[in-house]
Amino acid sequence: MSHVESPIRQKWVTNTDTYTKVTEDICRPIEAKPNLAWLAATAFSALVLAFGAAMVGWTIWEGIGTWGLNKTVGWAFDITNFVFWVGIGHAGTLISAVLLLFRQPWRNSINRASEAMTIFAVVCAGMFPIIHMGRPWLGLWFLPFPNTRGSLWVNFNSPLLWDVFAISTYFSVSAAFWFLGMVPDFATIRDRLKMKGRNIASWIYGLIAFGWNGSARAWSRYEIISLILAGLCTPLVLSVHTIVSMDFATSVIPGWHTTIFPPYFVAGAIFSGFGMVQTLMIVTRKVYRIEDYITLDHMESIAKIVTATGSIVGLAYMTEFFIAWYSASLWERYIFANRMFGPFGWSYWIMFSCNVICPQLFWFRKIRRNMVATFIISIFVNIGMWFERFVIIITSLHRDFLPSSWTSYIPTFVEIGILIGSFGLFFTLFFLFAKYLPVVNMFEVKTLVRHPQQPEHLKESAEEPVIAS
Amino acid sequence: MKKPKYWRGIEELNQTPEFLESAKHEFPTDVPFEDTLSNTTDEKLGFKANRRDFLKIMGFGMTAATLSACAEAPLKKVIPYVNKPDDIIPGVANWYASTTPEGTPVLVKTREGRPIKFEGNPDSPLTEGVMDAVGHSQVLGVYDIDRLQYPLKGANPVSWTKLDNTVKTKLQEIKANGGKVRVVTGSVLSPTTKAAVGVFAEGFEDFKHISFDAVSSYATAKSHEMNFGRAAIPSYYFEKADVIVGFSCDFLGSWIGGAEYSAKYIKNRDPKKGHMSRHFQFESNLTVTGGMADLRFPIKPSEEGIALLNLYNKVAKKMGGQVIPGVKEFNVAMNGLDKVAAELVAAQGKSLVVCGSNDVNTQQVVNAINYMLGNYGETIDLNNPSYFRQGNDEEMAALVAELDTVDAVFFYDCNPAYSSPFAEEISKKLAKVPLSVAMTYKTNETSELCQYTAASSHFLESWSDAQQTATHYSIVQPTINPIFDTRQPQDSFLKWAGSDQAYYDMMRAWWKETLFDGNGSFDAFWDETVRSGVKTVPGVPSALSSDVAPSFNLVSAGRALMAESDKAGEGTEVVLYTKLSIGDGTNANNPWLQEMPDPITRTVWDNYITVPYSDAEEMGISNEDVLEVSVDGKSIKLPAVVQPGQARGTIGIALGYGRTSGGRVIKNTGGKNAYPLVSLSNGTMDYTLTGASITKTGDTYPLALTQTFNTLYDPVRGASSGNDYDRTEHIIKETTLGAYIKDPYAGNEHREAMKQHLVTLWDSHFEDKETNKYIRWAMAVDMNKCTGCGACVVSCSVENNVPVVGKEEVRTRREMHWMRIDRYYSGEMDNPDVAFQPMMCQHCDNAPCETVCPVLATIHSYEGLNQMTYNRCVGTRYCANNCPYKVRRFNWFNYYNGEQFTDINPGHVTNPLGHFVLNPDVTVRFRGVMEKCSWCVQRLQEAKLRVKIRENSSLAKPTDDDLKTACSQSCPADAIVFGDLNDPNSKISKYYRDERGYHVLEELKVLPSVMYLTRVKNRTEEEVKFKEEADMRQRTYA
Repeated sequence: MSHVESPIRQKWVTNTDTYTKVTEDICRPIEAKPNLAWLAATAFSALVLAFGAAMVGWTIWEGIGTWGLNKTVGWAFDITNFVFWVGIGHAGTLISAVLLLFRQPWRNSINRASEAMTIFAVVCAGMFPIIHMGRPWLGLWFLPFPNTRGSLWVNFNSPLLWDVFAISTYFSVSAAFWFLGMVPDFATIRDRLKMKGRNIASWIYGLIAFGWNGSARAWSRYEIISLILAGLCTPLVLSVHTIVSMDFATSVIPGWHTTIFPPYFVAGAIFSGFGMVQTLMIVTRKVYRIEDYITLDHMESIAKIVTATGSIVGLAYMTEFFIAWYSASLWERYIFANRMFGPFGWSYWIMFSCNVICPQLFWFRKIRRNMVATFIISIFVNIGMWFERFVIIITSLHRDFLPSSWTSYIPTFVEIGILIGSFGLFFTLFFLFAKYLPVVNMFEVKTLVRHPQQPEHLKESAEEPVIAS
Repeated sequence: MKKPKYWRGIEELNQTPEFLESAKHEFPTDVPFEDTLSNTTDEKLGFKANRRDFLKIMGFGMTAATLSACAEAPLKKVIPYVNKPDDIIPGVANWYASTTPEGTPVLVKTREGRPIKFEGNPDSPLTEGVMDAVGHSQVLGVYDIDRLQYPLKGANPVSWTKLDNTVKTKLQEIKANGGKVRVVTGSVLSPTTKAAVGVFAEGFEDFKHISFDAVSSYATAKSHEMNFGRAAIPSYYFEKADVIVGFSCDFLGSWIGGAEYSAKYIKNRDPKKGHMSRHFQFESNLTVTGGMADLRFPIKPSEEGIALLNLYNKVAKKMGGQVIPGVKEFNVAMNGLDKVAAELVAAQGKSLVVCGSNDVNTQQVVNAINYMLGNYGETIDLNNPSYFRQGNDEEMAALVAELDTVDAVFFYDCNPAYSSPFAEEISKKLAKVPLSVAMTYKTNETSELCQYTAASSHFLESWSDAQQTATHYSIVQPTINPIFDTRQPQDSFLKWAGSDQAYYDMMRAWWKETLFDGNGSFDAFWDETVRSGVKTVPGVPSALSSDVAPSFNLVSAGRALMAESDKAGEGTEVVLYTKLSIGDGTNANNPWLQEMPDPITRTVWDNYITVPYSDAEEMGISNEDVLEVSVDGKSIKLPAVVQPGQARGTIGIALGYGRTSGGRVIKNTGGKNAYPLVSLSNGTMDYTLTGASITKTGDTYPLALTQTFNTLYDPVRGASSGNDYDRTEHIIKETTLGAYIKDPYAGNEHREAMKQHLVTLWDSHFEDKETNKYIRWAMAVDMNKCTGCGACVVSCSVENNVPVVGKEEVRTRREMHWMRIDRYYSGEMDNPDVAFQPMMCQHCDNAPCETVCPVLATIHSYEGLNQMTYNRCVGTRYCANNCPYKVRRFNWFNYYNGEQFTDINPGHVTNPLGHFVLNPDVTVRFRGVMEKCSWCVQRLQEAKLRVKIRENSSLAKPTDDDLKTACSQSCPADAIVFGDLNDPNSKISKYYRDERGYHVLEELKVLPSVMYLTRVKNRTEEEVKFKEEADMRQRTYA
């Protein structure tokens, strides 16, 4: 693979003309001693995680009554957080799988970190369906396995069961894809550490490198399997959030019972996922000084996707309202009026401004390339998408059919604690990832390095420039 | 052939020396027994033991164990039967007839010797098996952990012997000195108890037995004495009345005989007959009776007199009688009084005016109107009076006045130190009384002031009888041995009187003498009476006999009432009332009643001030604002509840709260005591006050409401948005009698069209011929009958072990009631129409809850039940979210062992007594599990088995007579019907064919199995129009 590309093509990696530099840059944090900032950040995240764990423990010890739910609002923060984190998880797969299939080379720099984000987000998400149960220790009963309880079976009609399959499939395929993609990089780290005499660390990386030897056969098989996995992942991008949306869409509750939910949820998920990618990448590229690999061009591309998906989401919001009016259904009309102007109207307007108005700022190139502005907008997108799920769940439930049962909902500190704790979990995992695993896919980024210097041992024989093949 | 020789091991085969050596010993020697026990090598077990030591130790150990087993351990009687009593089959309930202290004949369900549930006694011709919520809750009293367990001297235990000796000695002294002895009781229904008091009274020079009712109807009795010469409260026959006019009289709720009157009232409210009674209600507080009325007129208490006087005059004019002079003109909306007068006159002898006022003058006018209309002898029966309320306010007041000069006072089943305006005076004077004894089964404010408390047995542990009316008797039969060292007061009276007779023998003797007709043996008569629990004797003809010369002093009554009404206008008027649940406060320690939502305000665990809607708007008062009400130098601070329908210029405050003694539930109850506001005027207790001032204190106080949205449309935005969000027609259907007679589908016209519209691709679960062989359970609720009284709610909680969760949990909207009665208002908020809608699991055939449960914890039965499998439930709560009726209840905590529920949940594990009330047929649910109405599946199963045994056929199906759910059984108005829809002759099948039938939220096509029947109001078109206009007027104004 030699890499002479047309100079008019967009540069996805800047200021880098050797493969060595790529390797050096990416491996630097792994090989270096943990610095104070990282230690502090990780410790803080772990502390937040511990707080969340304590709140989860309290919930399981004392009962769901520690939350602010009531007879009418049976889900609130729990499922909101669940859908929020599943949504976050979507960008990773989209970047690694869909963009791979569409041969978008710019994904090479960001796919690793966003896949990691996916995995960790799904870990966070997966926690909620379990802890939201009244009796989480019976979570096993969600699994259709032959059993001695009179062979009790699961209910294949229930969207919650579909969730179990969707999320577990998604998690396992994403994890496999992510891990497989790291194998060549693990081998690189293994070899470098060996040379530096750090035998134990080298042995560990060697273990997870699965004996990668960089042979042509290994590369060939690698390419094939990643294409297959990408192919498997692609439908998952659509299916997971479609199924999550069916938790609501298949119910009879006005505000949930809508056919628009699958596309609307998928668009929202990609939107929120890219929002989170923005947040993480802006920090990571700065802290790890890898602005040459995750360039402003990357950030701009992401911003464009955010705008596109944000607009789809906005369109979905308006479609919902139009259909609610057009249906002439009393229940639908009421629930949407209540959504905008009812007691939880404020959450609707937070959602609307964050998700529909904010991303429109990315129409301006200056804003797209301004990392401070992008960071702020990305935070708003994250907030907005959390509130989207909150709005859908709470405003639909709290005033449904019979006014006698209408209630309100106020979260308790336990629920807020668990939400914060889930961020603790996410960032703890992400910090560990950022320290011990290559945050940028080295070997794929190397394919983007333009005009690399000729390796020394080739210099004598090659007098004429080698043309890219 | 040589026998084969088998060897046991290599060692034996090889005949090694070790083997040969070991084979000599029967037991292996290398067990290091001594080493283990001795400390020769290292510490080990720490003592040197040989065989002798070992035997010594063993010997000591066994002796010690044997001796310790000889110690007297508490005897626990809860063990399986070694010798099964003949009449008890474990798992099968025994039923015994008894009577509650309120005088309702009941059947007591006992399981393995413990009472767990009451049902009204259907053999009683008086109540016909109906009972109110209070009756249903009474079973808990016997398991009340706060009941008295032994007699007390002051606050310390004392033995019965000591107590008896002291009392007897002191009474001897009093007898010798000719001192004053007073016995104060509540309304004693039992004739033999009165006889026992009579035995006790013998020999005293100055003895009085005073009846005291916390909520008194003395004026009714007194006015009858003045007018007809008979001090009694007559029996009212609501079923015979075609026109009923109620003045501040909650006769379907907390008045004298709520449940009984409901049952009778509803008999004349069936639109199928083409005729319904007309019911007008004049009242200040909105009551369930007002909610049921065809027309309700809010009036102030001060207007009650003048309204009645005007009514009298209008009736008199029409009938050519004398009018009362000096009466100013007064009328209500729609010229209501003219309308009422005209209809009363048209229904002479078939009308009824009832008044809940405790003012003699007011009652005289009522009597005069009824007399003029010829209702005496028809709808009012003074010859066979009712004995439910016997309180004599004048005698009580006289007692309090002379209390410090009394030598001995006995309080039996009454609590005047709390529930009377004399509380302060009593507490001051009682200390001076040489002998004061309270006879009660639970400490109360009065017993705490008395020297002795003679711990009574609960009525489920006692023999007694009751006479509810002149013709109706019933038996109080014990169903359990006294749990504690208690004694029934009748026995105490006899003992203190020096009589050796047991009360039971005395009672039998009294019955033999008085009620036994002499046919056959008395034993057979007695057994039959105890079995059926009730006895009716023929009454005298109800027509007033000709020698009664009624005398009405209407001129002076009119003058007094006019003076009263002239006083009004200054300040707010206060109406003190009793709730259907807590009543006068006697049962305040009953958590089921505390958590029973008030039918109107839907509030639990507190009392409060009901403030009229428009007044609240004007004064800027909203729910939970603490108000201070000052009147006549007294004041009370309570939170506000904005109450549509409360007459403007009045407020309502419930009595029965703020108790300071009586148990742990009371400690967890909010509210304040409003009895100090009661005053004595003209010799009767007055429960209304005028000239009160209300001030906002600026504080708020949390109230627990089970329903916070009261209308089916947006009351403010409704008019402007053209009722876009009016969901009434999907939930509550109403029509008028006139429209119904023209078209039985009136009010329900859209249903057929909607049914055509609701097509489905799927087969119905019940069109299958196979399933038609089975039972198909279904329920119907007649909205025309439901008075909202809440008896079903309490009955359901008792039957199904529904936990009590307490104020905090209700406040977070987590009450656990399996059934509720939704209450909606419509029309003008100052005088709204009220609709009650019992709401329980609808057992939908296309149940939305069933499809979403991931673990199949809720599934459909062949019989149409939506079943909940607690064991399987993992608690995702998706089913509850997806339930359009929101009838599913989640166990947010462990109610049976959570710390916060210790005091309030009777089934709590730390309550050694309370959980005996749990129904053993129903699982106590664990936290994290969903629960809901099961249609009393345990009853259905039991009935099916019983019928199969009876018919000796596995195909036998129960009929209507074989079973009822708890709610349908307890409904006083028979509004809830349950049965097998596959049985064409069942009552439920007929209801399902009724033109009025509809399902709530039918358009969702969840196919509920509960049919609701359109409510039919007996309203003319003109009246309907007037109500609509009033509604629009108020909306524009709002």
